[in-house]
Amino acid sequence: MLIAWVLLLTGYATKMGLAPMHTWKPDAYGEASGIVGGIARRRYDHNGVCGDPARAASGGCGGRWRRDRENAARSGLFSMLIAALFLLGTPDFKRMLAYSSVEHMGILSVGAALGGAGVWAALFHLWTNSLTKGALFLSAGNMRRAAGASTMAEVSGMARLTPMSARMFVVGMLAVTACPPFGPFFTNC
Amino acid sequence: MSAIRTVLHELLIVRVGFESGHGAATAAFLGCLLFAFFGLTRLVFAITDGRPRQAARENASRFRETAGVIVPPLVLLVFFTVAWARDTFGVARRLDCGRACACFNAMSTTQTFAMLGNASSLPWAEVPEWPVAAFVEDTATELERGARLCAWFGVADGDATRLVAVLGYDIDNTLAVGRSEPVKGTYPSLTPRCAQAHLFEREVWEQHWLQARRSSLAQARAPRPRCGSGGGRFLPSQGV
Repeated sequence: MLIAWVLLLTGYATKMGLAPMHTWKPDAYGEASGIVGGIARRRYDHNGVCGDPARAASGGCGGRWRRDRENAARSGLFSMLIAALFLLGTPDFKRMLAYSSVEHMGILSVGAALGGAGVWAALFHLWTNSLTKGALFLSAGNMRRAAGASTMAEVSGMARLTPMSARMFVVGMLAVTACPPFGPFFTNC
Repeated sequence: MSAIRTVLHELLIVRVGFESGHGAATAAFLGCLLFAFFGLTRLVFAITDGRPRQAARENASRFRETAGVIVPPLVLLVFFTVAWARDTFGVARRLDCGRACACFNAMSTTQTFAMLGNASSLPWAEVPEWPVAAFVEDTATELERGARLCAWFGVADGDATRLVAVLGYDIDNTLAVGRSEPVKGTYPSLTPRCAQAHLFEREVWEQHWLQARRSSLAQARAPRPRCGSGGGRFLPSQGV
């Protein structure tokens, strides 16, 4: 059972992109086009996360693996910390979106680990995050195509050149950073 | 109810974290959120506040924001907004459940149940009070809207009895409590609208001799003949 649990944890964490198994995510999302990044993000995150609450819940119900929830919370917090640190230092804005995705997977893991209303919050967060992050990847793809580059310095001022995409990007960014009154705020907090 | 109450009501992960005794983990959670916010805010400021480079200007002249590239993210944002609005409305309705919520239901005259978290307490004087008929009606309305009847019991008040209802909103991890004005003899039964109240009403009858009207108290305990006594009626029930 222990081996099965370790394999489950590793598999789901890799698919979700929980640290330290998150390294594929910035590379994949950073290099893919906006459409592919959006689709891949939703597919992998949904598949991984749908297993994660089940894993946390089964750990809580089974009684034998009571520490499973604690481990899920620890891995979630670790992912959030790693993602937050990289978000402060990464110049590529599409990689920033990927790290933001890692952070959100951490949030989901913490919510699922808390149980009860936390699981509900995690699932609602998954839903709202999938919509906002999809819009972010698509509008980021527009700006990348317009600027011809994806570093923060090279896309500065894109609000003047691609106003519609920039507006949608900013609205999506406010939503994804859990600013009220957007959905992720309700679930994050 | 103010809009901020709706917001505070949904502070789910933080609230659950603190209530379940994971204060340090919740503080770390909030700290990470703050760092991530700072990181992403840099990007927002760069896009909105910076000056476009010459290379970007030249490249952008070959790019047009056509409907084909604008509509897909816009659709996702609109879906998201609709999802958010529906959820917020659902939250507001749950908060409105029979309570004072003038901004959402100006015609509602129902009393407000006191809300409290698990393992918290409330002074008896602060428990809201209804006339007994309105109390039963509002409790039934709450139950029909999805609340769970955690407890329904009597509290002696002189030679009368006050009924107390404790409701659970499982999805919100919240309890609601209310009480009736002192009542004697009979009160309108809750059981016809909420079968789970049956044994609670029976308990009230057994402890306070306060009988639920218009209820047909189904027999909960089968009378056993003892020592030739022949059993008999444990509690006489009155039909509708």
